[in-house]
Amino acid sequence: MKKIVILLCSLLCTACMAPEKIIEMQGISTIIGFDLLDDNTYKGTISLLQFDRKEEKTSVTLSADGTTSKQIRQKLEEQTSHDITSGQLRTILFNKNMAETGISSFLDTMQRDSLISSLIFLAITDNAEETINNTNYEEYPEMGSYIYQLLDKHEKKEMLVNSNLHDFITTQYEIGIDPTLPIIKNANGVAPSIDSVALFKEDKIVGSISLINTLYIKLFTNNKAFLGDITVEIAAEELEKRGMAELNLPKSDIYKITLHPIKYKGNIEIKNEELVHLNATISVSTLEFQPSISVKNKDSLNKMEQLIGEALNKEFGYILEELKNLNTDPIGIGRKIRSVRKYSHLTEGDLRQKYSALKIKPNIKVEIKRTGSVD
Amino acid sequence: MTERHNNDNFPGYEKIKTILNESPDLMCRKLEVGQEGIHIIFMKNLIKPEILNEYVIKYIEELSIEYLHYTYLMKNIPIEEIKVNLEEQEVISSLLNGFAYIYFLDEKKAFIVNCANPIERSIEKAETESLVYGPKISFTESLTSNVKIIRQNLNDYNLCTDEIKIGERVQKQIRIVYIKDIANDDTLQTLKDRIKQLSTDNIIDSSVLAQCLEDNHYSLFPQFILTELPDRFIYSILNGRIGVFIDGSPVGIIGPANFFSFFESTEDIYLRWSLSTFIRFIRLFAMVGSLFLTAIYVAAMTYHFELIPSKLLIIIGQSRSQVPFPPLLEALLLEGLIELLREAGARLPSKVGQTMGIVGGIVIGQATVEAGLTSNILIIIVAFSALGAFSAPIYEMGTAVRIARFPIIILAGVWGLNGIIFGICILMVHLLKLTSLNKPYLAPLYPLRMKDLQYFLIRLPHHFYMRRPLINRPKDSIRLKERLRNITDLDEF
Repeated sequence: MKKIVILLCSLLCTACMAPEKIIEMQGISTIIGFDLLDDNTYKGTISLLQFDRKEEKTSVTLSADGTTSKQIRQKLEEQTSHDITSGQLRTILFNKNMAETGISSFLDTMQRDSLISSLIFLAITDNAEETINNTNYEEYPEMGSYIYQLLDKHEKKEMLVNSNLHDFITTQYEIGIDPTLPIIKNANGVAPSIDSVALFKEDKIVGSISLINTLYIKLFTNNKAFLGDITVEIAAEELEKRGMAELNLPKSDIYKITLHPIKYKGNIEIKNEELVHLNATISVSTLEFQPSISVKNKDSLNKMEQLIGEALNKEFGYILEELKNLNTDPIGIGRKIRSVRKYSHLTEGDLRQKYSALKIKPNIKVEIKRTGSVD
Repeated sequence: MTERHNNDNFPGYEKIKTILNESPDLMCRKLEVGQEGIHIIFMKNLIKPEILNEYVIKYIEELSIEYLHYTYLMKNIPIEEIKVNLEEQEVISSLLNGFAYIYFLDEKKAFIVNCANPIERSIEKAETESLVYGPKISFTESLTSNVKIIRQNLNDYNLCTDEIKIGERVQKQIRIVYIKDIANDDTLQTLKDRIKQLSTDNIIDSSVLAQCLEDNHYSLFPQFILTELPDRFIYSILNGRIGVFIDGSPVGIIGPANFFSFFESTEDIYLRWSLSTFIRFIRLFAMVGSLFLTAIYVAAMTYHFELIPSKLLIIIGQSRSQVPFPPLLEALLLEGLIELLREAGARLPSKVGQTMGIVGGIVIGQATVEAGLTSNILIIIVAFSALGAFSAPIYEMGTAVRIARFPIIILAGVWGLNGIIFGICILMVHLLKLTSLNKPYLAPLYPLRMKDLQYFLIRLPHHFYMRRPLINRPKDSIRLKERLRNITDLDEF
C-alpha cells in the first residue's frame, strides 16, 4: 500500500516536466543572425530545420525586424507553423555594424537561456541576412549546418583563438584580456568562409587580424593549439650578412621558408611595470625552401634559426604595435600583469591606460628539429 | 525393503476394482497352483507383458508346491523392485504406476512387483538452448533417465539425489541434485523446506515448480534457471548450486540464480576466453539496449530533440515527419507488432513459421514505413530490441526483458528522460531487493565480490578458475588443488 501511494505521488511530478516538443512540430533553429538597421532596430534572420510531410526541402530561412532579440523571435514565430526552438542552435552571427555598437546585451539573454548551449559559436559577418541566405554550400542541408561545420573544423583543429559563447563572455568580463571572434566572409557565388579574426575591446569590435597571424596570440593563450604552418621571408642580403654565402645559395632576392611547428611554449614575463617580455620557443620542422637550398651543417642551421626568429619577432612587433594602437589585448598581457601580487589592485581602466604605454618585447626563438619532412 | 507384517488389510481384487472405478484396464490373472490361489492384479496398459509373463507367472508356475507361499515368493521372485507392507493407498498408486499386485488368497497377504513400462522419448538434441560447441544431449521427460544422464557425466559418490514426493492427487517425484561436500547446507535446507511446504494438487512441470519456489512471486525476473542441458546443470552443480528435477519434465531447475547467470551459457566455457568475454559483453549490451533503446527514442522524439546529433536529426526528422502518431503511440504500436509476430511465430508449425517471418519482417515492416505509420529509424530500433531480448541464453530472462521494456517506454513517453531514469531507479531498487533462495540477485555486483566478477561478467583463461564462485557459498571452494599448489609455489619462487 505504501509503495503504491509513493508511486502515485510520483505522478505529481508530471507537473515538473517540460512541455512536449515533438520533433516534427519544431522549427529547429540552427543559426541566427542579427543585423543592425537604423535607429536601434535589428533584423533577425534565422535558418530553421523543419520537417514537413512529403517535402524534400528541410530548411527555411525567415527574417523579422525588432528592437530586442525576443521581439524578433516573437515576430519570427508569427511566420511559421512550427514552434521555433533553440535546442539545436549552433551559431550566432552579428553584422559588423552591430558589433561596433556592442553585442553583450544580446549575449546576456542567450547565456541565460538554458536551451542554448554555452558552447555555441559566435561569428562576425558583413551582413548576416545575406550570409544565411547564401545558397552556395554543398552537401549540407542548410546554412546553419554548414557554418557550424566550418567553425567546428577550425575550433577542433585549434585554429581559432576562441569563438564560442562561453569563451567570449569569460574573456569579455575578465579584466586584462579581450575577446576575439572569427569574421565570416560572404562573397557572391561562393560559400561563406573564414576571412580573418575580429579584435574586440570589451564587446565592441575595433579591428581585425588575419587568420595566420593569430598564431602569435595562440602562442601565449593556448598551449595546445594548432599554430598552422609559418612562412617566413628572408632577404638574400640578410643571409649574406650572416656569412652564409659560402653555402652556394642559388641566386634570389628573397628566400621563403615554410615551417611546420611541432610544439611550442609561450610565456609572458613581466619585467616591471613598463616592460613585458613575450618569450616563446617554437620547435619546427622545415617543410619547404624556395628556392631550394640544403642547410646541412649545424652552424648554418643555428644561423638560420636566428634569422627566422628575427623575422618572426619583427612581424610580431608590428602586430603588437597595432594591438596597442587599437588598445585591445587579446593575448591577456593585462591579465598576466594583474596576476602579479603588487599589481593586483589595478582596475580595467588602469590597465587600458598602462597598456598603450607599455613596452612589449617579443622574443620568439625557433628551433629547427627536423629538416626535409613531408607534410 | 523393510519387513513389517503388521498390516493384514490387503485389498482383494473386488475392492481394488471398486476403488479404480471398474477400470476396464484392470486385469486379474487368477493362478491356481497347488492348494494356493494367487491373484496377479495389474493395469493392462501400464505393464510390460514380457516381464509379467517371464518373471512372475512363469516363475510361479514352475515352483514346486512347498515353496508356493508368501514368504518364499516375496524373498525370491526374480524382479528387482518389490514393495511389501502396503497401505491401501500405496497399492492403488503403485498399480497405476505399472506395478503388479500379487495377492495370496489363503494367507491374505500380498506384495507388489515392478513391471512398469513407462513411455519415454528417446534422448534428443536440445531444442531451446542450442549450442555450437559442446554436448548436444538434452534432458527428457523421464526422471530416471535424467538422473542417469547426470550420474553418467558426474561420477562422484558425493553426488546426492534426494527424493521428495509432492502433490496431493497426483504424486510426483522430485529429486534434489547436489554435491554433498560442495553445496551450501543452508541453501539446501531452504530449498527442501520450500518444497515440503508446497501443498498442491499437481505440479505439471518443473517451470511450475520453479515458480512456486521463487522468493518473490510478483517479480518480473526469473529467480531460477531452467535448463534442458545436462552440461549446464552439471556445471552449476559443480559450482555449488543445487538442481531440482521433477518427474515428467524435460527441464531441470537450478538455484540459487543471480542476474548475470542468465546471461552466461555453457558455450562460454567451450569457446576460447577472448570470444566468450566478447560475447558476454554483447549479451549484456544487447539486454540494456533492448530495455532502453526504444524508450530513449520516444523520449528524444517527444522531449529532447536537442540530444540528437545534428546530422542524425535531419534523417530522423524526415522519417518522423511522415508519421501521424505521437512517438509513444508509434513505438507501442511497433513493439506490439513485433510481440505479435513473435507469438504467432512460436505458435505456428515450423514450416509455416518461415513464411510468418517473411510476412512479418519484410512485408509488414516495409509496408508500415511506406504507409507512413512508423519511421524507419524506429523499425531499426525495435528490431534491435527484439534481437537483444532473444540473445539472452535463458529464454525466461528474454521474456522478462521484453515485458520490462513496456513500462519504461510509457515512462519515457510521459516524462521523457526523467521517466527513463525513474524507471531505471525502480528497476534497480527491485533488483537489489530481489533474492534467489535467500541469496542476493545482483551478486557479485551487489554485494560486491571482486573475485567473483570473473565468473559472471567476463571469462578468463581456464587457469584463473581455481576456486568456485563465492556467492554460492560452497563448502569446498577450491576446485583445482594441484594447480593451486603449483602456482603458490611459483609465487614463492
